[in-house]
Amino acid sequence: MKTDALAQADPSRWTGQDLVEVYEQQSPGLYRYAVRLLGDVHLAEDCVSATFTRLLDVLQRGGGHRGNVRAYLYTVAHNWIMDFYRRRVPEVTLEAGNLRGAPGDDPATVVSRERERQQVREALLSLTEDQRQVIMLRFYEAWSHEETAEALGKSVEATRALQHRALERLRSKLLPVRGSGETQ
Amino acid sequence: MTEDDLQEPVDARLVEALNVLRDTPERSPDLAEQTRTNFLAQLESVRLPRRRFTPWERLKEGLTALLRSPFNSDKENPTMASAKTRLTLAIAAVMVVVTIVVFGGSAVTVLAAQSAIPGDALYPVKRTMERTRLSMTRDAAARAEVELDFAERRREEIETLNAEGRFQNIEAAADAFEAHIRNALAEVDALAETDPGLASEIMARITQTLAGYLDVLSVVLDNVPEPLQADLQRTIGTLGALDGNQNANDNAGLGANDNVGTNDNVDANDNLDVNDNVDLNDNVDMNDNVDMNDNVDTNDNVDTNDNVDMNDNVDLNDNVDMNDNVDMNDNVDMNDNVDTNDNVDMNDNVGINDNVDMNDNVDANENSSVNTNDNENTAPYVPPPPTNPPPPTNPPPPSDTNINDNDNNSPGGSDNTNFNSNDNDD
Repeated sequence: MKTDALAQADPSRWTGQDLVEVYEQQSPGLYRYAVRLLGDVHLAEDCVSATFTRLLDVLQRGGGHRGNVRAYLYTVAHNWIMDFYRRRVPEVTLEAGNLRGAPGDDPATVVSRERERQQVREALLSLTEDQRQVIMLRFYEAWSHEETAEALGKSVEATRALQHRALERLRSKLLPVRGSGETQ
Repeated sequence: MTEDDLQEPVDARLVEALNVLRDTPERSPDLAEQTRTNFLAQLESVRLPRRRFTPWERLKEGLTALLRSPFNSDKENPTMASAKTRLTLAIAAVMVVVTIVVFGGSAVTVLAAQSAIPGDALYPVKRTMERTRLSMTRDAAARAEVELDFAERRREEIETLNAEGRFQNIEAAADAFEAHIRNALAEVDALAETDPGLASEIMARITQTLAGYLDVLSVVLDNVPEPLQADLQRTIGTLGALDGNQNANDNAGLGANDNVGTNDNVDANDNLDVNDNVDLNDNVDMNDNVDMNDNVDTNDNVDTNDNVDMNDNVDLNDNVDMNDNVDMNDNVDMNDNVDTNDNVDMNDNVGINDNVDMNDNVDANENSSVNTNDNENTAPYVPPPPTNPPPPTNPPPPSDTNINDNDNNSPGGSDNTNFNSNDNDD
């Protein structure tokens, strides 16, 4: 994934137009990121909105942020999501907007797919924050180790180790459970 | 996603499992548009540092920021405000003494005049008192301070006038304020030859006073009826033309640097240089001052790289924003703290650390058990231990049983352990 030039630029020089551009570039990815972890389209929009509000707030007060803006935005979004889960007991929202399937799909299949997604989500939520962020950015967003390391403020070696441990944990969370589920 | 992408071997079944989340629901165009509209609305209301200000806005913003700075944050800092109140009271007390000496029995009138504002019957008495006080002050620094005190009073009067809607009297008070400032500057000029350090300190206070004044005026401007507004605008405009105001503005930059903690003699020298430069001052000259501030900022650049970014903002606002930025660094930390708050929540999960602290309490308990050991050591004195081996046969010595009871009463099993081991030692 290529990081665009603007996302790397010095934010204190941005005009309003630049910020609109940043929004257009980054909001779809942030939405995907948020909806994966939140599993709710409305919450994901809230998260995107709050993330940009935070960015504006920081810029308005003249504070910069270190590193590129994309990494910053994903970090803020991640924090927002974690705050959300801390505030509330997560519940699977089985409302129409979050259930996906082709028009002809068996409703039972659609629901069971959402259950699978929720299982993965819970497995991800069981990781440490850094582990989760590494998986979200490396696996789902296909960021490089270097980009991920910058977003986490860690060394590349550290993100490698985090990724390894995260995958170990996910394996133990997801594979046996699903295996036993199939045998029963 | 493959092993190559993750750069480590991955169970294919795990990849398959995780891929369940890869596809995300199509973003609802309606919701997305709502979020976007929300963002654009916020963007509208946001003041970006690089926004171009009109000279008036620049002045207002810069001075507002200056007032927000920790250097002179009496608006936000109640303790400083009360310190100021105390100062005012002290001055009032001095005034009473002076009054009694000078005016004898008419002191009550003069006291009553203290709260008078322009247009009040007693107001001339108040001003006369001030002139008297000034005439009794010889030292240049003290005179400058007194002038500044009076300037502050004029500012407060303007505020009161504004609050009471007596706009027609505001201009006179504004003129008086500026006269005080001019006088104070003249005193500082004289003082600069003998005591540059003190002069610079007073200059900082003049700047502060001026900033407060302009802040008040900017509020007043929103209230004052149209015709008077033009006059006030002109007043603010001419303020920039005052020689002294240039100095004050320069010192605004200096003050900002004070806050950053980089103030030194070099800065003072810069200040003098700029004073030389600023002959043709008007509102636009704020920009000249701004340039000076940039120079000072450059010094800051030496200190911290973070400030380099902030300094890109240029302008008087920037210099003043420098202070903000210093704050902002804190705020950035604050943001981190918000993140850290997350971590604090994590600590809740860890929680064990708290328990470790609890262990300290256990230690305290052990101390109490040491005390019981002392008791025990005294106990064997009463009955010789070898001669009375079986405790049941002897009616247990009251002291012994009491000691044991105490041990059991003392909290925590660890106490008992310690106690027992000490027994063995004995």
